[in-house]
Parts: sequence; structure tokens; C-alpha cells
Amino acid sequence: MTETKQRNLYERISKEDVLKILEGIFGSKNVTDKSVDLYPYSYDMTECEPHMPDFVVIPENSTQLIELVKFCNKNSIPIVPYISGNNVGGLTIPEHGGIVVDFGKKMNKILHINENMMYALLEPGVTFGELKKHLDEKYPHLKYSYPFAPPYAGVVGNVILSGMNNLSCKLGSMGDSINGLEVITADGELVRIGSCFYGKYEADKDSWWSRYPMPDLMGLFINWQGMSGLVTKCAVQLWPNPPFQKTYLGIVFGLPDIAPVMREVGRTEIVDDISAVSIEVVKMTIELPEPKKIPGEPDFAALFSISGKTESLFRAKEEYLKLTIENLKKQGIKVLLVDVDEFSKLFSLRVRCHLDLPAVILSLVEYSGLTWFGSYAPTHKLEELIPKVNDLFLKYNVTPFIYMKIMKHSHYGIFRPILRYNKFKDEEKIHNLLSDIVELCIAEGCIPYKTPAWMTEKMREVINPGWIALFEKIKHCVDPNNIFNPGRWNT
Amino acid sequence: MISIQKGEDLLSISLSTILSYRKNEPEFQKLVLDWNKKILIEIVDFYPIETIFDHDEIRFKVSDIDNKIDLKVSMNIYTLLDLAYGRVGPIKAVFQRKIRIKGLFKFGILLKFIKIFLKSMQMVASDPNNNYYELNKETR
Repeated sequence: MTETKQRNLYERISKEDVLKILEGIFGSKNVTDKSVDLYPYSYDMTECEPHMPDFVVIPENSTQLIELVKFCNKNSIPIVPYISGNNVGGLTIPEHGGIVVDFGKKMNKILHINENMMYALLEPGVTFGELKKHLDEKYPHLKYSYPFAPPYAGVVGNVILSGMNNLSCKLGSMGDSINGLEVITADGELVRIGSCFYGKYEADKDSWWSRYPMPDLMGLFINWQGMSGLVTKCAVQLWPNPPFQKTYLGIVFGLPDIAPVMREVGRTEIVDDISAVSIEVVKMTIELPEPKKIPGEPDFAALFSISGKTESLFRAKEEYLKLTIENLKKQGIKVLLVDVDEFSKLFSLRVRCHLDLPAVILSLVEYSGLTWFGSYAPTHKLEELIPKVNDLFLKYNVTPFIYMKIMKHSHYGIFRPILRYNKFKDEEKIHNLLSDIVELCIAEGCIPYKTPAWMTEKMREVINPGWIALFEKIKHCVDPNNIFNPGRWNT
Repeated sequence: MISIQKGEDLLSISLSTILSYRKNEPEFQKLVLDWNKKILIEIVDFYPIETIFDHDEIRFKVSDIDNKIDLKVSMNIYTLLDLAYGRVGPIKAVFQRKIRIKGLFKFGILLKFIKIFLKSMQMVASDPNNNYYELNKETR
């Protein structure tokens, strides 16, 4: 555990006085500076260095947060937003101490569902599980899309960090599905971005329907890891829940051959989602923590989800998917396509956790440590990347765990080698393996997301200097005292 | 009590799932407990797997497969699923050469294997419950 570093935070105001002010804003029951309460906020599952916050506050509304931001800005005290601490990038570890704002406890309301324009207006603490339950019970004709994340992970954190979902092949990044944001900027201004910008003081709850056509200020807050403001509301798109849905399983033999299979299926424009995992991961799901691949086994399992509003539309998509697979076979690619519902019964129903999202996926939670190189990837490089990264896993005697997705009908992909490990035991080995993976993948053009600071440091070595200069100018402009999640992206 | 090896490769995991489904049923136990046979199952595109019925124990082997097997059954994954979900019967599949059997004339062994394996597979397939945790309450 490292001590509070960089500036002396409490030169201008004592910690005791800070506590009093915070209690004045949030009430004494919603503020803590006790080590026992602070400790859970000091670390996550990753290799990122733990660091204690000085305070944790539990806000109930934006008014309290405006006061907090003004106070912190005046006294240069860091603010770190926190929902459930499930990100795999050390993003909510308060690297420079300060105040953790825990949205998950009270600012977790689903404020509005607009059925006509299909969006949900959310406070930052809403989880995938809560949103799914709400929609299933009250709006079964609408659905949200879910990543490979547990039900207790936050929706807003995922969208503003451009996470994945299970409609990614159709929609692309979750960052693209935001209709509007409410953000508190460093000077304590409450800003509404998107079509909700009409209304001097309050926005109509039915006005959060579009991000365009005004200048897209949302870019100042998406993917900034909480470095540019405090998001207090977010409108996310919903989609019709079609009656006909099915997921097919593609069983692929040959490590690089998964790449053309995913790309070609993606290009059909009929698939909602494509994800693939190393075959070892399928076995991990059923309680084989360190499985070995035996000769003759396939290399990857891919899931292709299709849906239709009518049976004939659905059948047509099904037929086209099968035709695409047949064409790939004719090109010499060994791939089998089966109905995953049928297959999972005969294999193990446990693998359904990959289908029934959000879900706690055993392979991601069974070790004390979890880290990854989660990246947006150029899909034409996948053939090279997959065997090289697989070899790195084997070199370090770690079971390969590669997770991939095809985004927006093959315009780009997600390449995510995942590492599970025992903390305090295998940390050094895993960090070395991850470093090797990072170097290889960045050299091939992959761009990590939800990126830990040590990884952005490596990226800075190869990023265009003009980009870095502009990035830093903007950061300085929107957060002159560097109070918002300092340390991210080496700020 | 029949002990069924927990598989570590894809096919033995499947076989273990299928055969475990009925392992507490008296009818299944009666069929298996007095059996001592080696059946080679070959799923085309994958690899052969030796299933050893050794009275109260069922084991799987994917390497060093015994030369002296009692029955060899070969089919592709699509035929396996068709059999499980009742889209094709075993006799029709044999006539259509979707299943190839070495030891076809060992009727007793073949019939018993069908009763043990095919029936179990069809029961697993027709179970409407898709919830692993409801079906396996002792799991973590």
C-alpha cells in the first residue's frame, strides 16, 4: 500500500476540516475516513498498485456533488468516481488519495424509461442486474445489451469507457449508444450534453433522445476515465426485444482461422453479436481452472447471435449464416456450426453463463487476481496476433485465455487476452506476461481501453505528439487543478 | 453407486454429462453394473475417445487407445445432435451411413450401448430445465 503521493493535499485545509465540510454536505452517515471503510476502495483485482483514499462519500444528488466539486477544486483535492470497483484497469484506485465518490449506494436510480424513443435515463450507480430486472418486469418489449460482466457491475461506467455489449456486432462500442450526459465540471457547473441541452435549469425527462447534431461535447467525457468531470446522469439507448432469438456456436479448428470466420460472419450484417474464446476457456467455465488442450480439440469457440421480429426474417438470417459458414468451409477452413442451446445441454449447462448475461462467469472470478489487455483491434491483424499471443501464454506456462469480438459488422474488433492469477504469488510472472502482450499488441496497432496508467505510459511512447499535446491542453482546460481522477493516462 | 470420470477434454466432458444424468436411476445402474466393455466413439473432425464401462466405473481415454475394443461407433457432430434431439433414429442413421459401426453384428453390445448411451443422451436433450444450478444443487 502506498502513501498519498505527489502534492500535500492538506496544506491548504486540514484533514479534520475537510471531514467537517464533507459531513456538512453529505451528512455524517455518508462520509467516512476510517481505514476499515476506506480499505475496500484501495484496490481491485488487477496488478495495479493499491492506494488508500482519504475519504469516501456517498452522494444522494447532484446538488451535493456540485458543492463537493467546488470545494475540491478550490483546495486541489482529488475526486475519484466509484460504482462497484469491477473494472479491470485499476481505474478507481485513488492513486493520489483524496475523496472517493461511491455512486453505487444511493445514486443508483433508473430515472426514466422512454418507450417511444427507446432510452433509459440512469444515475451512475445503476447496475446491469437492476436495469435488466426493471426492463424484464416493466418493459419486456425493450432490451438493453450486456457485456461479459456480473449483474452488480455499473451500466454508466461501461458506456462512458466504451465497453462491450452483446449487440456489439450490430452497434459497435457502447460509447456510441449514449444519448445524453449530465456532468459536473471542475468549476461546479452542471452541464447537460445532447438533446437534453434545452431547458435552462431542468431538462424534460423526454428530451434525452439524441447526441447530435450540435458539436459533440460528449467526447470530452467519454473514455476520459473520470478525468474531465463527474457524470451524474446518463441516457443510454434501448432496443426492441425481438421474439425470435438464437445463438449459434461456431467450433473452429486452427488458431488463426477464427479470424476470417468472425470477420466474414460479421460482414453478413445479420448477426447481433460475435464473440470468441480460446477453447480452454470453455473448459474453465466448468470448473477446470487450468485446462490443457489435447490434440484434435478445436482452438476456438465462437458465439453468433441472431434475431428477428418475424419467424421468416429470423429463418432467412439463419439460412444466410449457415451459407456463410459453408462458404468458409469451401475455402478450407474447418468450422462447425451448431445450435448452442442444443450443444450446451449435452456438454454442460454451465456454459450458458456466456449466453444469459449479465452473469458471474466462473473463469473470471475464481482467482484473487484478474487482469487483461483489453483492446480495440484492427481485424486484419488478428491472424498474426492470435498465435503470437497464444505462444506467449504457453511460454509463461499460463493457460491461454483469449477473448475476441467483432464490432459493427467487422469494421473493427476487440482483442482481449485475459490473465487470472493468485495475488501475492504469481503477480510478477503475470505482470511480465502482460507486459510482453502489451508490447506485441500495441506494435500491431491494438488500442487498449479502460487502460491502467502503466499501460498508457507505454502507449505514450508511440502516440502522435500532436495528439498528446492536444489531449493535455484539453485536460488542463477542463480540469486546471487536476482534481478529477488524477494519474489516469499519466496526467 | 456408479462412478463416472470427470472429463478433461471436450468429448469426455460431454460423455460424462450425458452418462451422469441417469447414474442414480435403477434401470441405468442395472444396465451398467454388469457391463465390462470398451466402446470407441469417434466424432468426425474431433478425435476418438475410448469409453470404458468397467462395472461400477465409467472412464474415458483419449490417448493410448486400446486396440481391442468391443464396438466402434463413428458419426459427425450433426448426427450426434440429430440423434439426441430425435430428428433421426439410430436405424435410419445407420442405413443412411450417417453412423458407421465396427462390430455391427455384435447385436447384444450394440443394443446395450444404445440403451445406455442413446437413451441417456435423449433424456438430457429433452429435459426442459436449462438451469445448471437447479439441476446441480451441490455445485459451488
